[in-house]
Amino acid sequence: MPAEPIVPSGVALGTDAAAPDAPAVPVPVLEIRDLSVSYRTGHVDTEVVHGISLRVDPGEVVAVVGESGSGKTTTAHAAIGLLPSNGHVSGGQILLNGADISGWSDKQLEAVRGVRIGLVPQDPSSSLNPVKTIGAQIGEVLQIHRRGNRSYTRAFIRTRVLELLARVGIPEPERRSAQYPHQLSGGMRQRVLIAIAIALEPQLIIADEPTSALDVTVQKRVLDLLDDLRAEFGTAILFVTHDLGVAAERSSRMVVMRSGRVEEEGGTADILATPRSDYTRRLLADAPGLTVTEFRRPADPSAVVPDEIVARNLVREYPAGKGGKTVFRAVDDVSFTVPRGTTHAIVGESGSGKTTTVRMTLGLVQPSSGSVEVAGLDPQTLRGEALRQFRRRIQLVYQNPFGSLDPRQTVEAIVQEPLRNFRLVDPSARATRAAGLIDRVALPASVLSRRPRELSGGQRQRVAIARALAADPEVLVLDEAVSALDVTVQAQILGLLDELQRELGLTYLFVSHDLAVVRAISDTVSVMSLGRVVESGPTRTLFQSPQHEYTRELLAAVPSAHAGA
Amino acid sequence: MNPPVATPADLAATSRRPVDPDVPSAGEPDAPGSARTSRRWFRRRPITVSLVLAWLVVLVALLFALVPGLFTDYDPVRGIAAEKLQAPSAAHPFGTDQIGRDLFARVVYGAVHSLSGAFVAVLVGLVVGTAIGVLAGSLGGVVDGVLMRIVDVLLSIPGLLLALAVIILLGFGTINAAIAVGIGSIAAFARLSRSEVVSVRRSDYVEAAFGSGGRFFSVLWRHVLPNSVSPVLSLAALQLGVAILAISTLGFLGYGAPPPTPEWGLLIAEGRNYVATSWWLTTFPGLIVVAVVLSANRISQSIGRSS
Repeated sequence: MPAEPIVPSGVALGTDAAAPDAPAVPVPVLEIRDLSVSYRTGHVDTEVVHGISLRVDPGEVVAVVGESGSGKTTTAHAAIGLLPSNGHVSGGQILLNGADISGWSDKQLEAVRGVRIGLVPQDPSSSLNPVKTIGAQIGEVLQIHRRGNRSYTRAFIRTRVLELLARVGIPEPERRSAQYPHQLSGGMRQRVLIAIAIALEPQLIIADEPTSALDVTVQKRVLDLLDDLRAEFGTAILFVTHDLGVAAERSSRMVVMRSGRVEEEGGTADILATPRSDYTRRLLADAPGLTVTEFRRPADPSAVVPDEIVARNLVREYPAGKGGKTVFRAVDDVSFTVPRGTTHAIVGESGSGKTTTVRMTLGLVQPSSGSVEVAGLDPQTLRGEALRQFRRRIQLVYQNPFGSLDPRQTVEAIVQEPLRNFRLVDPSARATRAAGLIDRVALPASVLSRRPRELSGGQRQRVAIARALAADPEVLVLDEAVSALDVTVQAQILGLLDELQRELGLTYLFVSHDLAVVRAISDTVSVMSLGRVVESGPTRTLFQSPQHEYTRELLAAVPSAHAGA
Repeated sequence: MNPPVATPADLAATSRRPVDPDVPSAGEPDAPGSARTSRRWFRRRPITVSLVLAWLVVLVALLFALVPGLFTDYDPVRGIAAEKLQAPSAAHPFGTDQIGRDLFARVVYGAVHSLSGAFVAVLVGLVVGTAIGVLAGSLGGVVDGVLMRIVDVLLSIPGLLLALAVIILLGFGTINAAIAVGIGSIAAFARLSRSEVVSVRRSDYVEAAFGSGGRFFSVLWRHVLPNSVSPVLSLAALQLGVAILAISTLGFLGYGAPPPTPEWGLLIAEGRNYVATSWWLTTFPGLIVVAVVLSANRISQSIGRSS
């Protein structure tokens, strides 16, 4: 779909009496003045956004940055009238092309949503209807808004859908448009959502964490696409993200939010160069791509450190195709060693086989061939009680702290579980030990009596680490353990892990899709792609002189980090 | 079931993600997730009249069973011939039957037979069914296949036919009728608990429990069962109503307690001969059964919703 002239919709529909005679200053596409939003829980109103103001001029990319709970998503949703039913705008104005829409009914807002403001939602896996083809879902937007426009025939909608799919870079649009969301990868689903958002060529796209659920390389492609669309159509973008790196790379202006207030606002370059608030400075320091952290000093080469983990030629095959006639090699000849007390990172996108590899290391998946040894033991050969004892020595911290803690247990019971099962301490000493562990991971003692749902993501991940430590392990496997967390929390957890390693001499196997994250914590890195290790070596060498093309691609995908220290 | 309700002060103070993750994904325009959100923060729902009424009915029925003497001074078994087939009055609120027994007394004293029968039936179904379901769901493979095919066979036989067959094997009597009804409900419990267990079994926290050194049965007991049991409990409450009905049916057909036991189903069966002249003999026991069954359903529904 080559550049169609789209002068129009914006300015023509563009509105009401206010606009026409102010040519000097461009009317902002979106202006928010002193917006307050409250949520009602029970009979109590809680204000979560306290009088914030921001503006988005035509063709501009404004990033709203902040951690979870800062009110950034609420602000974005308020701007398009999509607050949950217990939320309401309790003050201020939302001006769209100069017209205040904050008091509009849903009926009135329908004329705006999709037509003048497009929304790219956060989670591509749950934002598409699983029982409709993607072609039908894109077509739906066109259908809803055709309203008497006779040119929107069925054939026209179909052509337009294919154009849109091609425009957002989905190969074979004909075939894809007949497919269902589960047949598409996460990156492709996000592209479909973008296609829906741009279907009516809105003046403003609100992108709510559009890439948080995606791998870094896919993230880069999706962000590039948004950039292209902006350049092509002059669409303004309000970009909501917790990742300062992404904001820094993509936006022209930035609004830093915290606890429902604007901490700092200004040109992106200015804020990066001279952040005024402490909070912004902290965010900058925590963003893995923006701050050049020191590499770990290589261990003294003269000291002989025994290898804690030795993986040799691991292969894992799964039957594939019809009737399982062909095999799919999820992991193909992977070898690595991890010296005791060091961190080895395995980096790759989803589907690269890194999770299967660590699950083989843990003995949760049997290798098709090859062997793995942890502290001199091969989990393949262990059964029953020996396997149970083996599991004590190698503990896993899961990616999703919302799913890895039993929702019915208290934090105290969760942390005591390994103590109980392995009879590590006297029953009478368990409570003291659990309290000690909770303290060790820098949580207040008051969390002991709480249940997981009362804790934030970062707190839950600390509980998961405390549980792993309770078993008194030698190896800790961290499977994307910080990927689901905000940058600030991520930095705190990485700091905690580093400290624990120094004090307890733990060996880490650290799995991540993001090279920037592993930079500071790992001593050695293996980069995996399509089941193979494409490159491995000391972290510094790998970052400073990447040999393989894929490693270079991963490094380039890190927002704003331009490799090499 | 009483989660500490997060106070607004908490939310504001600790920035504990008051909104972000629960905000409905904006692809769906009409905020369907909000009900869930508000429920999470505010689990206490208003108490409804129907639920209170349901609990009252069940409570009264239980008191009938436990302390029948509190409700009536008449003897449920021995009648006064002179007072036969009297219509409801102040002296006999439910009237009297063909041999002059007070019907209200018979209903009160009958509760213990009908209710204990129902409890035994539900207990049999709950324990055996849940055990089968949990084992099938957590072991998987061949065990799952074999157990579930047995359950399929149970499901394929009509409930009443199965109960009659079992009674003929075990012999007549209240408890045997209860066991027969219980066997009929095993399949439903097994199916439901298996489906719950299968999803809980795959969760990260169960794998983590094995990683923390849990043995198979301790993980089942400590993690899988508590997280999959609430729909099963809801079904149990529902089955209580169904069982009272089934036991009454068996009593009505003459497969339950023998006369002169004042079992509810039997009361209705005996009153059937006089349905044209003495309507109260069938109507009042029937209404009692209906009230208790409906109450059990209402309570089951409330358990189901809260889980």
